[in-house]
Amino acid sequence: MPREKFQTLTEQMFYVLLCLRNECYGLDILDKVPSMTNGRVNVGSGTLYNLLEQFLELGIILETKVEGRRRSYILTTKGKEMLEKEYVRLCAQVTDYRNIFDTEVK
Amino acid sequence: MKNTKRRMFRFSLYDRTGIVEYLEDQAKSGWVIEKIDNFGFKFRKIEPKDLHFSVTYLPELSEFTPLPDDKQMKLFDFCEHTGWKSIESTLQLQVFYNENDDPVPIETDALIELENIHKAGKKSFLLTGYLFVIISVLQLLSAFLRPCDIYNVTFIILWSVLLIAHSTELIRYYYWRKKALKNAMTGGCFTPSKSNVWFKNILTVFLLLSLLMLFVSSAFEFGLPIVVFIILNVSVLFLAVSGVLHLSKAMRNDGVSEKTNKIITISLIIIVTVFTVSIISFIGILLQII
Repeated sequence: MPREKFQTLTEQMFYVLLCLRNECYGLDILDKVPSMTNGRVNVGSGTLYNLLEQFLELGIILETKVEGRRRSYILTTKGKEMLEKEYVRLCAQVTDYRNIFDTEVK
Repeated sequence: MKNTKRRMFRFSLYDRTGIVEYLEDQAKSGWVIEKIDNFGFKFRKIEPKDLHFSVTYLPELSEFTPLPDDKQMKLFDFCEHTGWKSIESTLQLQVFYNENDDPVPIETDALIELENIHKAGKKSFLLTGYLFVIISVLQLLSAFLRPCDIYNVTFIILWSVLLIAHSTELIRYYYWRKKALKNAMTGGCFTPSKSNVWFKNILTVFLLLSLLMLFVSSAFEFGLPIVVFIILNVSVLFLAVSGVLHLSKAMRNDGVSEKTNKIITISLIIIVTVFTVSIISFIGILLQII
């Protein structure tokens, strides 16, 4: 069965939401994500299009401005909570990793 | 020398891997795709070159969506930003090409891509697939209740071919989807899809042969003039429906709303079909009386 939608975020989802902490044009996310991750993560244009549509539908982001065909978005409170939840989950993973390997070193 | 050529669309609609490989091979041999529509691919002659192609799906787009569509334009803008140029397409299936050496793929999340293909499928190939399976089964059941003659046997062959064609397409899709979902969730990569082109070709030959047999056996059963008359009427119906579809396309390009276009097109198709079938039935009854 497919993962329950947005229960956990993929790397791409995480970085797209991170870009939208401040108001940002959809198109700019395509450049921001690789520059934020030193080229480690790229978001495809089709994937970004679908993610933005889904995030909008679920109230995770909000459309703030429409200038011709350029649209800008920002995280909603729900989006911020999701991002925070993911951050806590990732930190827990790092802590678990450290607990295991630090014990081995000692 | 011809500068354009047309080719039939012989792929399964969900087979984005097969379509991409085909288009890349065509570009290598000097033909670049110019347009994709219900009739197939249209190619333009170019200098042979290596081009990257990508196929993505816009489930929101229907046969009646006014063009240019906002969502389609938004996708085009995103793709253009990463070097992907769009090809004219009136279908849910959208084709792009890129001349850069190592472009960022349009789709970078296999699960989202699969979800999109499935959504598009529900409005296109899955819908027609299920409809054809149901109609074929009903036609076969009615045929088995009729007396066994040459006309009925060819009728059974014709609908059996259609049933096989559409049910295998559905089975192949669900089998591939199951595998692709599993791979996407474990490895995150897109599972290449494949169309069974040779099987489709064989079925097409069978279909044409059984249609021919149906005409011949009908001529024996009902007499040649009646069959010729029916063929003429079916041709008129085909032309009339094509005319309605052209009108629908013109409405799409003129920005007529999806709802209005849908109502006008479906109403006209029903009127044209009922009118033609009534004429056939009326003349049939008249001939029986005479």
